[in-house]
Amino acid sequence: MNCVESQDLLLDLAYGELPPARAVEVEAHVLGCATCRAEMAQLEDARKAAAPLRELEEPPAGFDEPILRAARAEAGLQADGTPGPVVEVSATVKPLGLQAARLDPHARMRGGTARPGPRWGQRAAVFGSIAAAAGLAVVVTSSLRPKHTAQQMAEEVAPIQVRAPATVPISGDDGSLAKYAKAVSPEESSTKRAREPVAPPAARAVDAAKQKMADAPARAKDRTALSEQQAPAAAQKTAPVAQQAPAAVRKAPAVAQKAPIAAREADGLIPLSGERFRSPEQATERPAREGLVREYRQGPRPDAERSSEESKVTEAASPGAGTPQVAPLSAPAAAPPVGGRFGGAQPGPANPDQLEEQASAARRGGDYARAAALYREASAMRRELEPARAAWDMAHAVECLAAGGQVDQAVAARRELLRAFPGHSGPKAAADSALRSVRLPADEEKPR
Amino acid sequence: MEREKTDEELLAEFQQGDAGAFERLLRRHRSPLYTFFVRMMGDRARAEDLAQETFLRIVRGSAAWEHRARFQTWLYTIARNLCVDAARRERFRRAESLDAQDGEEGAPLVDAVASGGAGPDREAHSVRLRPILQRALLALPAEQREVFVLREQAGLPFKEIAELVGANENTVKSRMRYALSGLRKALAEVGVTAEDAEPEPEPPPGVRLGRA
Repeated sequence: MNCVESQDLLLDLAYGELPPARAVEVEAHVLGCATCRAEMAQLEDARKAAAPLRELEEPPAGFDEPILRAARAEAGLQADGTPGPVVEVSATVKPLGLQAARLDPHARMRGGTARPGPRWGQRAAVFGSIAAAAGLAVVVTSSLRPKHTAQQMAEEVAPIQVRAPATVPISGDDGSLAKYAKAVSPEESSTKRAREPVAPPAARAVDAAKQKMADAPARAKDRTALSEQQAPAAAQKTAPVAQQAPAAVRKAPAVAQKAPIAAREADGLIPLSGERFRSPEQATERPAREGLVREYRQGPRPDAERSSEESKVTEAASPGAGTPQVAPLSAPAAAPPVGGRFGGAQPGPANPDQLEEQASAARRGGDYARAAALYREASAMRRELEPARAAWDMAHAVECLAAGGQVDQAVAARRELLRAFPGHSGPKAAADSALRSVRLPADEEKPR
Repeated sequence: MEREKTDEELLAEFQQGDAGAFERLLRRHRSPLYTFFVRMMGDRARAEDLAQETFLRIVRGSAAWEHRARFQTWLYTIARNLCVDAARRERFRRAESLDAQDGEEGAPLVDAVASGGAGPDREAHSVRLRPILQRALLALPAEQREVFVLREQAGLPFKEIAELVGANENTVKSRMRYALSGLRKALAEVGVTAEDAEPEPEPPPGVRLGRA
C-alpha cells in the first residue's frame, strides 16, 4: 500500500468504515509512514476537539405531540382505508406483535389491499367507531374518577374477574392471578395522579382531549357516507359525553362490598407494576410514549370537579353509549376463584408492554396457548386507558388460539372482542382473518 | 428478550397501521435529528420546527415508502433538504436586508472563549467548548458542515452521505477533511486544542444512533 492509497482511506479508518482486513493493511502502513501518521494524528485531534458537538440535545417538551397526532391519523388510514374517528379520539396504538402475526400461518395480517366488503360495511364501521368514541369518553373518564379510592378501584376489578365466562385456557399456576391483581395498579396510580396538583401538561392535555372529543361530532357530520339520520344521532351521543366527561358509570361500588378481602390486602402489597406505572416523578421523565397515558390520566381531572348533578344528567343522557363499553370485556376470564394468593404476588414486572413482549416471544416459540393468555391479560390491563390497543391484544389472542388449533376458544375470544370493542374494525379484521379457515358456528357473523 | 426491531421493520409495521411502531421510531430518532438541525442552523427554535416538519413528512410519505434505502438515510435526506431550503430563504432575506453586513457568520470567535484556563471538570469543559465549536461549525461552508454533521453526529457512513447529498464519495470525504481541518484551525485560533476537548473518540460508528 502506498501513501496515496492510504491517505484516501484514513478517514474511513478513523470512522471505522473499513472492513477489518483492509483496516489492518492501512494501520500497518500508517505505522511505518511518517506522513500518513501525521495526517492520521491530525484527523484524530480534530475529532477529539469536535467531540462536544456529538452530544445529543433534547428537543423541548411538546415536540412529539403534533407528530404523534399525525401518525395516529395516518395509521388509521393505512390500517382501514378509512380515517375513523376512533383513531384520533382513542389514540389508536396497535400493540407489538405484528411481526409475529405475519409469521403465523394462521394469522394473515391485512396488507394494503382494498377491503373486499361492500360500502355499507365500511359505513357501518365508521358509524360504529363514532359510537365507540362516545363510549370511550365514558370509559376513559370513569377510570379517572377521583372519588374512587385506590381500594375501591381494586375492589371493582375483582368481581368482574369472577363473573367472566371461562373462555381462556387456564395456563396452570403461572402466577396469572397475581398479574391480574396487578391490573389494578394502573388505575390505582391514575387515581393518585388525578389528585395531584395540576401540572402544566395536564392543562394542555385536557384541552387536547376536549378538542378531540369535540371534533368527533363534527367528523361524524363530515363523513356523509353515513345516512342523514345516523350522523346526527352519533353526534348527539358524543356531544354530551364530551361536555360532561366525568359521567362515570357507577356500578362498581355496589358490588364493591362483595369484593374478596384478598383484593383489599393486595391493595397495599402490590407494587405499581412495571416502569409505566411507577411514581409520578419517574413517569414525567418518560418521553413520548408515555405521553399518551399521561394525557389520559391527567386529562379529565378538572372535569372531575364538576357538580354531581351534572354527572347524573350525563348518566341519564348517554346510557347507551356508556354502559356497554365498560362491562363486557370481562377481565381475564381465566381468573380462578379468588383465594389468598394476592399477597404472594410475584414481584416481577407485569405491565402490558411486557406482557405483550412475552406474548410475542411465546408466540414465536410456538406456545400459542400461553401467548393467547398473555395477550388477554394485556388486553384486560389496557382496556380502560387504551381500548384500541386492548382490542388489538384481543385480536392477537384470537390469532394465537386459532394458530394453536384451539378453535372453540378462538371463536369465543373473537366474540368477546366484538362485544367489548365494537367499532374497532382493524382488530376485528385481524381476528376474522385468523379464523378464515374455520367454519364459524351459525350464530357467528361470517368473517369477510 | 426480543431483539430490537430495525427502523425499517418499525416503519413497515406503521404502514400496516401500527401507530405504536411510529412512536418507537420517533423516540429513537428525535434527539439525533433535533441535534442535527441545531448543529446545522445554530438555532433551537428553528431546529425544533424543522425536525417536526421532517417527521411530519415521514408520516405523510410513509404509505409510499418502499424498503430500498435505509430509513435513516430517508430521514436525513428530508432533513437535509429542509436545511437547504431554509438556507436559501435565509440568504434571500439577508440580501433583502439593508444591514446584510451584520451577518453573524463572520463574528470573531475569540470573545466566546471564557476567561481563565482549562477547567478541571471535563463536563463543564465540554459545555464551555460547545458554543465555540458551534460557531466554528456555522462558519464552515454549508456543504462541509452538512457532511461533518451527518458523519459525526448522525453517524451515517460516507457512502450514504454521498447518496444523500448527490456527490460522489471522494468529494464527500474531501469535504469532511476540509471541515475537520477548518474546525481545528478555528479552535487553534482561540487557543483550544484537542487536549482541551473530550479525550475519547466516538465509539464504533453506527452504534450511537438507533439505540438511543
